[in-house]
Amino acid sequence: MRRSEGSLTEIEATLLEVAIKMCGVDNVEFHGFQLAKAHQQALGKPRIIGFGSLYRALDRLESLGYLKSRKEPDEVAREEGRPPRRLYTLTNSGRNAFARHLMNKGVALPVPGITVPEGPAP
Amino acid sequence: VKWLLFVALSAVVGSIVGRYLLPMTVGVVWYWQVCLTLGAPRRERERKLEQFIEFIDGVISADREKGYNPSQIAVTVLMAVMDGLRDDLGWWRERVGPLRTTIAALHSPLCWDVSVAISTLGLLCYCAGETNCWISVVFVSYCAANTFARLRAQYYVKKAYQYVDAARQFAVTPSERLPLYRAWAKTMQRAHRYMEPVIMPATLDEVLEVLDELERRSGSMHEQRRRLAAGFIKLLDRAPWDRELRRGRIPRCPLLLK
Repeated sequence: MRRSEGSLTEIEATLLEVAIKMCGVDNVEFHGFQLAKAHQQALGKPRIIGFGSLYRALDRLESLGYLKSRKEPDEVAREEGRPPRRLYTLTNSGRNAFARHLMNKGVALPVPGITVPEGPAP
Repeated sequence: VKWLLFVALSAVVGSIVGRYLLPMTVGVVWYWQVCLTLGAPRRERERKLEQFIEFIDGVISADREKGYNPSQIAVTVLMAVMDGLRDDLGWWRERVGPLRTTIAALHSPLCWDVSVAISTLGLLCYCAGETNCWISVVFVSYCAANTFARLRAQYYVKKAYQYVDAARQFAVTPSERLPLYRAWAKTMQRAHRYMEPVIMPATLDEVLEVLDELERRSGSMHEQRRRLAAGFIKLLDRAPWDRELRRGRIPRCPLLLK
């Protein structure tokens, strides 16, 4: 089934919600696995989200402009003795999209960094 | 002694498996990703493999912090990859098209099915990435050969049914019709050479045999029709792959309709 433009799937919405909670108002950067761990803790699941599911959702959120990413400098990774990571940042349109998603579902929760307009969904 | 040997052997096997299970598992899932991204444009492939390394490193570090042993970490890694298997295939599907039609596109020598043709196109676009020129060349050739085969087949099918039309319009007696039907069968044989190299000509050979036998024998018209009908039913029964024929897009032989 084809999705409507800009709509979020359940997993994308959950990841966006977790990302919003992680970033807070300061918009802290996070990497994919960090988000996966936070997602696992938030949902209280015994296992971490699958690799394919996580990055497919992240790629889609990035292509929609809800997340921005940059590659971590190699020096930092080398110092810590691990492979370089891709760091994601939440954009304002990502926050707005999540707020819209909540409104469409009929839930009005405060999203850090934006004001949720009151009233029924358009 | 047997039990002691068994315990010792189990300990040895256990230690070997315990030692190599994690690298083996990481190797297996790594090659799964490598195979999955085979033929993808370079940038996408690098991105996916980079994500994979980041994720596996994260899983291993997190499990080490929890105090898991390598075998337990291997199981976690495997589970994390297995959990996303459906989405991995979805990633492939977004770029190539459904797996079923892709296999059909690779298998069928003739793309008459729209979804198969779309998959072929998807596969072509997918492979026409930055680095995989040779795959692109193979698929361009494949599509060109398919198109050529399709055009030839269409030409022969059209020509074959001109004989049938002629038989229906101008030939009055069965003896006048039979050469035209034989011409139909022979032309169809040529058409099917481009459609399916094994099954159809064999079936059409039987039809030709029936036609030849009909020419030789002086049986009743009822008997002739029955045998021809039997021949054509066999033809249809033995060609389950030929969806077009079953859908009736290629006109059916008028002998069956009369």
